[in-house]
Amino acid sequence: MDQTPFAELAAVDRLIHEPSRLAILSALLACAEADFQYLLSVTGLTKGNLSSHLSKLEAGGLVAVEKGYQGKIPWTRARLTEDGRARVEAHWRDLERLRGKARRWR
Amino acid sequence: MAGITIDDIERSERVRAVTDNFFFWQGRRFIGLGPVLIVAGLITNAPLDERLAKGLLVAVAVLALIVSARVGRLYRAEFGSVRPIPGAHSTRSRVKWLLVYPAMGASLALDMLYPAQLQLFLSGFVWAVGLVLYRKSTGGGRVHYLTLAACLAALGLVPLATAVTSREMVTVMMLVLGTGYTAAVLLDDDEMRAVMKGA
Repeated sequence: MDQTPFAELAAVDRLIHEPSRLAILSALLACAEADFQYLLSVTGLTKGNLSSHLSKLEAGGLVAVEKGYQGKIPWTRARLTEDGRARVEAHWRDLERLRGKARRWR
Repeated sequence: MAGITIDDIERSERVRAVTDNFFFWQGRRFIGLGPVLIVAGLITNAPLDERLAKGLLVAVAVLALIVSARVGRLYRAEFGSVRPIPGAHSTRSRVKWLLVYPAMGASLALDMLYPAQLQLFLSGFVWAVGLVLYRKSTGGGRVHYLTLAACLAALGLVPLATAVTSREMVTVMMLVLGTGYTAAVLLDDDEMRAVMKGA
């Protein structure tokens, strides 16, 4: 017997499948690179929370973070790694498929 | 479901759409284009000296570019910046430059050159389609563009019901479009802020 869409969701990539991280990764999927300020704006997270999520995503190999200074002003930029982009794209394909299934299941 | 709801997924979809088209969603960047369209419409049929008319249009266009650059800096300071994926929108660019803009230009030329022969105002329909395509190709949302497109399409029928010629309708369309576009870009800004704030 087929699994329900909700049972299938248990198998998704947990590193990606968290609301704030999904928002961060979705933003990064749509661009080559985003700065810290943009990710703060688009997720509504605090600086500390965003840093924490970026660290987890970096440790998981999904995101590459680059830091530097322009004069005395520090900057942080993030981008998806090649593997990260493939995983997030695949995750979005799964989400879209499962959402379609959930609609039919109702 | 690991804490993710359908709302989270839909919000992330909007985040993707806005990030992918961030430049176009920064509505106030384009606030100067409304007055440019209005001036272009007014001078089309106005009994103005040609050099004065062109000078006025150039001055308003230059002012619009300056405003756009300054507003762009304010957006960058407030929301940060993204670097687009090179070549991500090559199809959109091709369709825009090879099909949509030429069609808009051609319809305008026909309306201006053959007012006696045309029973419809072609630009109303063609520019309405252009606006719908603009909305669709830059991330959807922003329903106000559909309202503005409907207004333009309705203008296309005016010569059928009145004595107004298609040439005169160019001025009317530019005034409607300039005013409507000014409102639309302010609404773009509102909608972008709503996505950013997680609404």
